[in-house]
Amino acid sequence: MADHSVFTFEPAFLARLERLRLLTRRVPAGGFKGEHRASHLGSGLEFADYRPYVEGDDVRHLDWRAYLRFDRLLLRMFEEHGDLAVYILLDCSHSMAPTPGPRGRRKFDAARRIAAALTYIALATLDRVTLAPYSGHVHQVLGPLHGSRQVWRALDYLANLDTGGETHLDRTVREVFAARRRRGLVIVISDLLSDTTEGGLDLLLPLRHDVAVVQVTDHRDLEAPLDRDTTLVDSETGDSLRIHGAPNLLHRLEREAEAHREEIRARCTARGWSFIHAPVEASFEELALGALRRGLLSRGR
Amino acid sequence: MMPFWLPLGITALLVLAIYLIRPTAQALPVASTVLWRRLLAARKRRRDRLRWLLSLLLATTVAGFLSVGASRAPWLQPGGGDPIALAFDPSPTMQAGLPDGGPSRIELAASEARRIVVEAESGSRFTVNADPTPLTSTEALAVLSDPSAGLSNAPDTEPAIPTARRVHVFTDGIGPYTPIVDPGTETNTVSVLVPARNAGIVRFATRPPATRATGPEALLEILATDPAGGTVPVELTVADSETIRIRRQLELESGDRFTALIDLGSFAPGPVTARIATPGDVFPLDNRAGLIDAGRAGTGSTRLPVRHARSRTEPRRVLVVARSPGSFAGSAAALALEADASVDVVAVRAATGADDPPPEDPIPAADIATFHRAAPAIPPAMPALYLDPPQAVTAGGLSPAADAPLSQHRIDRTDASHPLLAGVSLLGLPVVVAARELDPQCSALASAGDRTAIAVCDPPPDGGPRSLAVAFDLDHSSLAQRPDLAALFQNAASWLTETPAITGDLTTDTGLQDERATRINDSTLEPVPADRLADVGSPNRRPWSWRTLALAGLLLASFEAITFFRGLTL
Repeated sequence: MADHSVFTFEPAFLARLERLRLLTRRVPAGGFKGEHRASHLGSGLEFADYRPYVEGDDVRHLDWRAYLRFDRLLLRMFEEHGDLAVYILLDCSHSMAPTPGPRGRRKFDAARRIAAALTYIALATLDRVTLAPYSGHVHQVLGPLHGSRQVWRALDYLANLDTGGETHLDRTVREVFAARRRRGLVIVISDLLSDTTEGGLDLLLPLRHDVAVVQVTDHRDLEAPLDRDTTLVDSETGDSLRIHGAPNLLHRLEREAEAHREEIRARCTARGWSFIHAPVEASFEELALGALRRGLLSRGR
Repeated sequence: MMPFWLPLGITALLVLAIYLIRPTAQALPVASTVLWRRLLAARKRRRDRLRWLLSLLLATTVAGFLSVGASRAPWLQPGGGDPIALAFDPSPTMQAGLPDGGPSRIELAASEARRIVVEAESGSRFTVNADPTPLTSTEALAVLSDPSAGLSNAPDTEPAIPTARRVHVFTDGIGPYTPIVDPGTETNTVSVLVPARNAGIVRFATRPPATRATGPEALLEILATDPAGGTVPVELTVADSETIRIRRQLELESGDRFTALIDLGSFAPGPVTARIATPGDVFPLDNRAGLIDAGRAGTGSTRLPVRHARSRTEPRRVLVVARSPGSFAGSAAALALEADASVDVVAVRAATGADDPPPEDPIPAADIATFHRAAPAIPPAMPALYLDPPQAVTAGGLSPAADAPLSQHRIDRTDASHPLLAGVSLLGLPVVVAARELDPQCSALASAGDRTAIAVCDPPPDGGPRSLAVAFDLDHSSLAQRPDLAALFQNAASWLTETPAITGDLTTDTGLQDERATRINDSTLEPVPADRLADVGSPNRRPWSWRTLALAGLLLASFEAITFFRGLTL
């Protein structure tokens, strides 16, 4: 049953979203005109720079005025604009909703809301959006979508998603990018509580996509009644882990979670990728206009 | 000794029980255990790992110290120096029993010594009495396990104790026991004195006749002691070689001395024995004393001479009692005795019935009585040789079987190891012998089927003299024509007059006629507390060896390490 309640955004908030666009450092030339400046110079309208003429260049772009002044053949370069291929990999594994009920699904709902918002922004800026929910493998891929009219289709698709299975980001990356796809922006939305996270991100590196990792966390994952011996049961794998209570164990667990997050952040930063921490305890507006905007969005028109 | 596997098994069961009674863990579903596993893995990081190793080292060290400390490992103990000496008083009073039929003082001493050995530092060495051989605790316990064999037989009352760092002297404080110990050696006297009732003969000796010229007298003194201080009833019997001559009931107060002069003129030749019996008496060795007839032995010594046939120079005097003296002359037995130079037939008398009056002529002194086809109603108090005794008369260990028919058999079984058959071969000899029952105290020297052909009796020291019975007629046997008969008679003369057991025991008994020995409570030592007597009956056991305990500690430490490795403890 579709759950559209998670996508109810205030009109004012939507209006603010529409003024944003996805930020990418390497925008490949798209097949459709878009609002993203290409990473290379091409046949756009905005002058960018000169460069020396080499044999084979289009003589129509020679700046004769510059030739008369500097006695050198200089080629005028223009910014090229195109659309952006956006791939949203949404974690739908069991760990995103470990317990039933609205509180147990907070991470998944937040992830879907983020995916919806990013999809909304991307389609509004004429980008091409591909939605790829995954757990152990990729579920049915939606897209690429193009044009703002596809927003409702995307939201409806997200509303019908459910959780289950283990997380295998590495397998997901292989499946999604098994076919030749355009280089673009890959957005991974996940709690990253999997041993396959690093492996999956590593697989993206040779594909030369721009990557943004959005980690959705719930502080309840770091809470456990450890007043006596406890056997922890993994919601995804069913593996059990026996621990003995210790006074500062939960505090150490929090520090371990932070250390884990910083490891992934450092890995992304080293590769020029974006990393956004999205705790479910924060309001979505704060997240979208704060962390997401700082790491992934920029002010457009 | 506890088997080696038992402590290990118990330890394993305890550890298993500990694991079984551990509270079960609660199951808690979590989104993912990734962070938890990272947290546990983080403990292996350098700092945490150092702390973990340190705690494991401490746990192992504690377990090791506990094991080594409990086991008293030898390398931690100063046991490598001089041994510990255990000296046991060998005086006769150490044989005195404890009240109510308990073990003897020497056994109590052995129990105390075993306790000392068990509680001594591991690795200690021990010496026992004057033997300088150092013993391990196990060897010492083996020696002390049988005190009657190795401890009380040491006759030396002034033994030189080997050099030791500590000497334990086990004594009841009675008797001339003074061990010689190196100066400066720590000496611990362990009292095994347990007061008890005793009455003993402290003197039994002949003395020259004071007023009568007809015979010697014997002086008998009896001393009684009772820690309760009550009256001690004593039954006294004095017997010669034939019968009991004196029997009296005495009532002696504790510490009383009974003295009697006994006229030995009416006593039969041979040893004279005095015995006493006292209810609750714990020291039987002084209840008997013997002496030789001074008028015949020519000595006042209380020690009987031990006579050995091979060193004898005078012929043995043989008195023959024959049913028919006429038929004895010329018989195979007469010829054999005549041919034996070691015997001298001093008289041949006719046998009389049980109701016949005794012969008027005095019976000459003899060493051996030989009965030819005759047997007295009461066995004589001297060695006897029975030749073809009558069927209906008890003699020589063969009891009559009524109307037992005579039948011929061949001797098919002999006790070839017996000195009587040295150089004698009887197997296959046809004999005509009656079926008779063998006296339980006697044994068959030669048997023909189920019938005893020759019987020998070697009774205990106070049971009478030796005897030999040839149950078949020599005159109707081919043995008379064989040299085996002469050899058998020579052996019989030697064996019958040896009597080493009788004289030997009498010598031992008379050696206890020591007034000090009889005073078994007269000691300056403190008596043994009653609660220590309870341990005498049960053998002392060593605790677990240090190897066993160390292994158990290692097992525990291993389990501790395993639980650490598995992250089961914090």
